[in-house]
Amino acid sequence: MTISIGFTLTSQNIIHETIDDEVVIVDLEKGFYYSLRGTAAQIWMEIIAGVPEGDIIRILSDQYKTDLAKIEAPVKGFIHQLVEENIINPASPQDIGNKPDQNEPHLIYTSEQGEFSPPIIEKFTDMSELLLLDPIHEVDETGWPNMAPDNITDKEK
Amino acid sequence: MVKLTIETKRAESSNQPTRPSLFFQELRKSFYQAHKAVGGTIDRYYQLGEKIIQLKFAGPALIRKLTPALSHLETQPHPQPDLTINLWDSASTGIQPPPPPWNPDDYRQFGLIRGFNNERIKTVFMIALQMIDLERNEAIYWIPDTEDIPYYHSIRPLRSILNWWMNKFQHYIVHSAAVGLPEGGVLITGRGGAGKSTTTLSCIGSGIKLAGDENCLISLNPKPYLHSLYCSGSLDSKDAYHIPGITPYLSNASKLDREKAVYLFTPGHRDIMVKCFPIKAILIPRITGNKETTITASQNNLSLISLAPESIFQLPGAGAKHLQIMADLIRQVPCFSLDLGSQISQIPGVIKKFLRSL
Repeated sequence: MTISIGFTLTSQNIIHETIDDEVVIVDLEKGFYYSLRGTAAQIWMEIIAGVPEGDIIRILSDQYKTDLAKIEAPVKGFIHQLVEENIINPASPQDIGNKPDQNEPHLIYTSEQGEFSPPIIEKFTDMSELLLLDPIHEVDETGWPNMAPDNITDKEK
Repeated sequence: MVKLTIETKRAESSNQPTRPSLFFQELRKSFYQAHKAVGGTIDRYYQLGEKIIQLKFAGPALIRKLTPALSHLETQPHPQPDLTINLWDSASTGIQPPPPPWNPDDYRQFGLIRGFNNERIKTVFMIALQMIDLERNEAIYWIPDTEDIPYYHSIRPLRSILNWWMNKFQHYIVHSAAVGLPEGGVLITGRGGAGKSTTTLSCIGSGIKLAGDENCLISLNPKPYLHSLYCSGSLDSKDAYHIPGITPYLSNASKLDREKAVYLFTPGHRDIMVKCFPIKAILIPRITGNKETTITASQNNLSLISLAPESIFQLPGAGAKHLQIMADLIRQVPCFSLDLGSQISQIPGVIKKFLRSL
């Protein structure tokens, strides 16, 4: 099934920036970060512009002069992966009014030429261990934490 | 999973004290009692960029733990410092702070305190309590006992407070090394093991000066600029053996078989450090196994992934604005690949030649 409305970021803990042809997404809550390049970065641009899945497939099909059928599965799979990673959600009806004008061109990134290559998410989890452990385990009789430095698994270390 | 809560939306009116500002006032009273108990404050002054920061210590106990890493920034007493940080410990002063007005489950990721972080007040408890009132330009640092301070706290003291406060002036701490000269220098970014410390510390005694090994302060207006924060750092002890010139500055040279190597460039070694410079380029090191060290043009996008995550995940409360600043920096500054050769002594010469070419 093709989702006919756009997508929104799941929370304020998802932040992102684009440099040249790469998008870096950071999940502040989980400590994960992601690199999207090539068509993945291109699709991300469309997603954050509020473009629905079906329109993204059509845009890419036009740009790469490739049959919709060849574009559809990898794009849907990519978007599904973003949803599974809890980075984006299908927009709710109240979000629709906030979508940008669908008549505006959304092809911000067009460095990929030639054949369409499937979008790939590169995921990094090396920072997540900093966030998984609660650094405060117990408090003393005054209410302040007992923190033996050896037990600290924090950002400071 | 503990949820990170960044409460930046709830603006706090200075006319209506709320729990965070009321608690801050309570802590100030405790600090007053602490320095009264030990006969007054010992004040130290530091210059960070154009800002003067006053550290007011209740007694001497914390000074040897927190000031050496800032010693290259120490300056003369100033009648109107831009920021005052009040510091005390309970063990040496006998003064406890008031009980925390939050519950144990209010400690969030990185020790951020739920309900005590808003646009005006920032609070974190990680090894020590660090709290700042951004409207008053005043901060509190408290720790039960100076013996609780581990080396990694001493080599980058007061980092949360300094980051929060400097953010007011669009200055941001990044996880990066930096070397250069007053007329210009480079950021050296990369994930752990990429060769940042090796590159940076190889410059000791070469004429190229160090601005930092792990944490630096950057600003973008009017142009990308870097300020040194700390004159200390740490590295894996096995790496220390390979870096010529580091040995005299190791503070734990006899313990390298069981500890990370900790170095400190004290005021006597000021020739090693540079306080600030315009950022001319970003270098991304990688160890190649080749003999020669070379610098070649790189894609700028590589520097964001090597710079941003570690910077964000090492600073409590850092988020979208921090990421945007780093992206803007990379948009303004060219990025190069630093392919490190096996001859470490060759590295500073290559960087020096590169700096001249910019």
